[in-house]
Amino acid sequence: MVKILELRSLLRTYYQKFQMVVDPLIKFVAAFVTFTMINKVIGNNLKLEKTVVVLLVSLLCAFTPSSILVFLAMAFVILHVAAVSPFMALFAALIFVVLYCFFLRFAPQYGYVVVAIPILSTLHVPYLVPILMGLVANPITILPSACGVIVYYMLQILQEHTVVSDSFALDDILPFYTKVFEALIDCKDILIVSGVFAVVIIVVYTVRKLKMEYAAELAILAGAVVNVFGFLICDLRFDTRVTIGSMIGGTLLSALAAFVALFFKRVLDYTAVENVQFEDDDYYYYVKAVPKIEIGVAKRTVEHINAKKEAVEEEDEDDYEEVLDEETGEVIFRPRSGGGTGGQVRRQKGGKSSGYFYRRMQEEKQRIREEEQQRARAQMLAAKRYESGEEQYSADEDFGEEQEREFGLSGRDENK
Amino acid sequence: MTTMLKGRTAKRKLTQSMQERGIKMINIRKTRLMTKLALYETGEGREDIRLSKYYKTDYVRLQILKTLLAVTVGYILILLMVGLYKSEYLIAQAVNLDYRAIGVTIFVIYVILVTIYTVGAIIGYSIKYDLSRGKLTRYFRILNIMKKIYREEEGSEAASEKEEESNG
Repeated sequence: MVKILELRSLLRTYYQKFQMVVDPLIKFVAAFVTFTMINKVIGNNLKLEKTVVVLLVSLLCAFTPSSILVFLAMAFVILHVAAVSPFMALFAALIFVVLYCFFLRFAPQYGYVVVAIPILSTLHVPYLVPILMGLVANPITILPSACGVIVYYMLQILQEHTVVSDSFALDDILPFYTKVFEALIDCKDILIVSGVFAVVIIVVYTVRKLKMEYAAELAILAGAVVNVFGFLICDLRFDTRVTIGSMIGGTLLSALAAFVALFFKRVLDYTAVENVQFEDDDYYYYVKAVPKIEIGVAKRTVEHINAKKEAVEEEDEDDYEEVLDEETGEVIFRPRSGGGTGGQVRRQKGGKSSGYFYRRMQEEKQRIREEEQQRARAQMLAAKRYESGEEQYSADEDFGEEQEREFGLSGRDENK
Repeated sequence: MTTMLKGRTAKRKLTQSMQERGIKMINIRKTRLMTKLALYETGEGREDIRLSKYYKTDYVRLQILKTLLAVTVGYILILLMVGLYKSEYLIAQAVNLDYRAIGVTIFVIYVILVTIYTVGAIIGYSIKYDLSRGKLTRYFRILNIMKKIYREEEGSEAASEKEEESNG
């Protein structure tokens, strides 16, 4: 546990230090993977497949918002299709517009989901997306994830059915177009996968919002279970193209990745350094706001199990507690935290044994207790006698005597 | 012999000398608050502040209009694609087609779509507006504190001017 905490604080510190490099780097890698995957899946345009082009476009994406990445990815797809069949490229563009109108415009900030699902699908872990979205976002991400599923299957269908033709004549293109359109309509997987993803997002989101311990971890598990059962049921009822083995493996991997992501989210949330500029009547302010981080450095405690006596005696008194050894009747000093095991029991050194002091203390306590009891008995007797009328004296006299006894005045009177 | 001034005395003297020379000290509290405001304004607050310019009903209505427009455009595009897909059949049966039935079907589907999206937009955008209001209250509270600070500063400036006048 201490190791994890240390790692966490270390990560935070390094993230704050190298945030300016890390953020664009992550975006760059994401963009690079995206464009490389697109080239691999529907690489028809040789110009776009050049490494220089991919690197340049990824570099652009590293310093721009994620919506630019989404836009460029769609442009890449359209250009690749256009290299083979301009008409099909127009069809792809129209589908993208329809997807934007029906789904994406309601959650433009989650546009990266549309890119992430096809990319992760080629890596067999698209299930990570709904789990993560339920974990960090809200149910509106159902729309972009449905969009992503449609894009993935559309790319597959386009790749399967597109035939090289640069003609716009209806007679040439209509057969291909009909085939592609039919394939798209007949693809039940789009509905099934989108549906299961939607359910997973809702389940993960609901469990995460529950007010209980480990809600986020349970949400990931619940999401994974719902995902597996959802696809199993759908596979039994409708004949899907999803292979069960890779689905279960992918779900497990996704859940694992979600746990890692959750760790990083908890560690790095609200730790980013912010630079802001503003002004008032007198000054321009360029403020670098660095969130405060509590770094819990582990306390190193070295425990000598077979240490020399001198070394033991030098240890701090406060670390030991005084305990009566019932067998010997001696007071021993036991390490506080050790609980008797592992640590060393230390006996008091000196002329008299510790038992002597302990016995003296007990005797003293006993004496005081007996005195108190005697006094109480005497008071009770006096009160009884007073009530029964055997003795009568004024309160003043009593007080005087009492006072004299208390302040030692009686002795002085005797001297007089 | 020069004596080192420490603590509050030094601060007061420095402030006085700066005021005499017409230089204002940086108000740390004000800077902190302004930083908080700037962080919110440049981050998640940008959208909230944009929403704060509308009444709720106006905002939701505007969004419904935009949604209707988007849905209509999307629907027309889908109709075009379906039309192209069925073009052979449509051309072949152009004379025998029951245009009324087709029109009614298209219209009914459109109405259903529009209804679903309108209800969704009303719910979704209302929630969004309410959430942004919640976040804005904190922002306005800091703004109010800033207003107070400015008033105090103006007050102290006016007082010092008065002093100068009376001395002169």
